[in-house]
Amino acid sequence: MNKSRLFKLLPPLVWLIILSLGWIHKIPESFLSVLTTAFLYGAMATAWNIHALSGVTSLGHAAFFGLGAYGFALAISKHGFPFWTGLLAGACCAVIYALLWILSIDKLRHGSFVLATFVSVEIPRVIIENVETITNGSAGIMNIRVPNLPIPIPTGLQGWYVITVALTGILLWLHHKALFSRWGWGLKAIRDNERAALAVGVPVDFLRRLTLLLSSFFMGVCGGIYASIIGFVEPSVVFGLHFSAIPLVFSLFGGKENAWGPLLGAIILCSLDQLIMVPLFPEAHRAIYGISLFLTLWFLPKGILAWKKTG
Amino acid sequence: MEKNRLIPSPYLTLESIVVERNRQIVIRGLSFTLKRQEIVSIIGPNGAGKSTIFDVITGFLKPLSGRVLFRGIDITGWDPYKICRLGIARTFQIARPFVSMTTLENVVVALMFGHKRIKLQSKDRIYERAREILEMVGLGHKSRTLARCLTLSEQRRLEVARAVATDPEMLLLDEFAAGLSPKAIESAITLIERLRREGLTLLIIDHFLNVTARISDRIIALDQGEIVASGSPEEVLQNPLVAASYLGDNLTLEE
Ligand SMILES: Nc1ncnc2c1ncn2[C@@H]1O[C@H](COP(=O)(O)OP(=O)(O)OP(=O)(O)O)[C@@H](O)[C@H]1O
Ligand SMILES: [Mg+2]
Repeated sequence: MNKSRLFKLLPPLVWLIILSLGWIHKIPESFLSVLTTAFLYGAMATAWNIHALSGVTSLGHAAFFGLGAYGFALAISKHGFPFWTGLLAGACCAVIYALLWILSIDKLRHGSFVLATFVSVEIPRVIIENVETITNGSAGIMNIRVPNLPIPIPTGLQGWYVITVALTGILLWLHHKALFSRWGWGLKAIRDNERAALAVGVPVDFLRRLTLLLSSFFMGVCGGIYASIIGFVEPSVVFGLHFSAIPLVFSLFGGKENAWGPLLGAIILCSLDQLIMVPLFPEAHRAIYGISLFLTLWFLPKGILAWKKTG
Repeated sequence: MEKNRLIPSPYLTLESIVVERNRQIVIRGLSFTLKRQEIVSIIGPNGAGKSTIFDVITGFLKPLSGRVLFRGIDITGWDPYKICRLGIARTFQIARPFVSMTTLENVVVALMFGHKRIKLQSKDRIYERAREILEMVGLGHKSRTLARCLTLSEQRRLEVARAVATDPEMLLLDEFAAGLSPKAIESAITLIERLRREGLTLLIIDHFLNVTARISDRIIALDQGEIVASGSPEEVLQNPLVAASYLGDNLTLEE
């Protein structure tokens, strides 16, 4: 086997090893919990970045996250859906909302797009807060009991770890495609110059919409998994700015144009946050995100994974 | 060639095109036709509407009324990428390179997305063809340079290379000679003649009237969105209306 073939096999192998940690019983809970959080955020950041690769910045992915979480919670606790169907239902809610974006703000760019996405999070949130008979309003849905999974994975935290790592794997593969396939070349052309991309035959609208739909789907899945780990959903939490902004921070920190960037950004910053900032500054631990974003944009505008090339 | 006979005789037809920009009519009921393998130039003073016509043909602007027909197909209002795949490629007056890609990659993207006819399956074949095209426009030695580092005149040639890479049947060149040295203009002319021999139809916008006169079969003179004269280069350039429309414009027959 030649070197490049081996190189291609390496990432899936590493992924399998990391995945298999979920079956080892000796791993301390606290460690596994930090890892699960980091991977879930890594999946979110990667999903967010797939959309960002089409040359626009969204500050509204909390809408997909929240709809995914609510769709899942309602499907499970009110309609008794099985776990996977519940996740799918949540993700479909997110995709439907993404279709509404396509119908309404498809032509916006730059600042006006960012602003429109930012504001759009309020719409599902206000609706959910007000149809109390179905959604329980602003009190949210408590005690989501997740049904047993029909696949042989461990229960409890270990199970969540396995699911998030698996999801991250799928997203990494997709992200890799969005960077390095023919599709990826098209997206790169769009980022560089939309009109020139059109002039050489790149189906700009199609590619951009496709990335949005994929991105919203997986953001919805992340929302569902989050809801099942935490066990409850509340409009003010799942539609919070936190879930719109944090994927952006991780992507920019790790590097937007690197297949591993968003995930590594999430793993590094989440670990810093949970292991160092929380014990030291329990009140202001989240400042790490603001500080790191500021420092990356200042010193390494292409993210930490680009440091070798620039400096 | 067998294929030629099947193609209806007006190759490209513009039928009473009207275009509005910023609430002003900038093209007023313009019509013309092109024959296959013709080289036609559009001339006219600044703001006459030359680039606007390119935008209409390639789908970047929708006309208020009128139709564009290419090989008998009504392409009015089509998406630009579809028109490109149908076989009409263009360059932009101000070069629009993909700045974060190398010169070679710029061409590779055009090869990957351009024309449907081209079925370049293997990656090696695509890169090989991209090098050929760069060689053709004289950028072979710059293939690894980032497009943002090219000089303006190199960026113009890259525009042409990228358009050629989409394997067009018709090529629209906007100000192809602007900013090129006299030597580069000569090689551009050689390239244009070579493309025509390969079967392409060319529509050219150019400010150097002496160059235009040399290469064109026909010239269309435009002023304020209307055709003021059209016909053979001699006819058009001697037309008093054309001279009048250029009055005050410092572009004349000598460069
Ligand atoms: N992006 C634009 N938005 C609005 N109006 C425009 C735009 N570009 C050009 N125009 C207007 O359309 C008219 C025709 O412009 P066009 O660019 O087609 O002229 P042109 O013949 O290509 O001129 P030039 O020789 O300067 O390239 C002009 O009146 C111009 O002011
Ligand atoms: Mg122009």
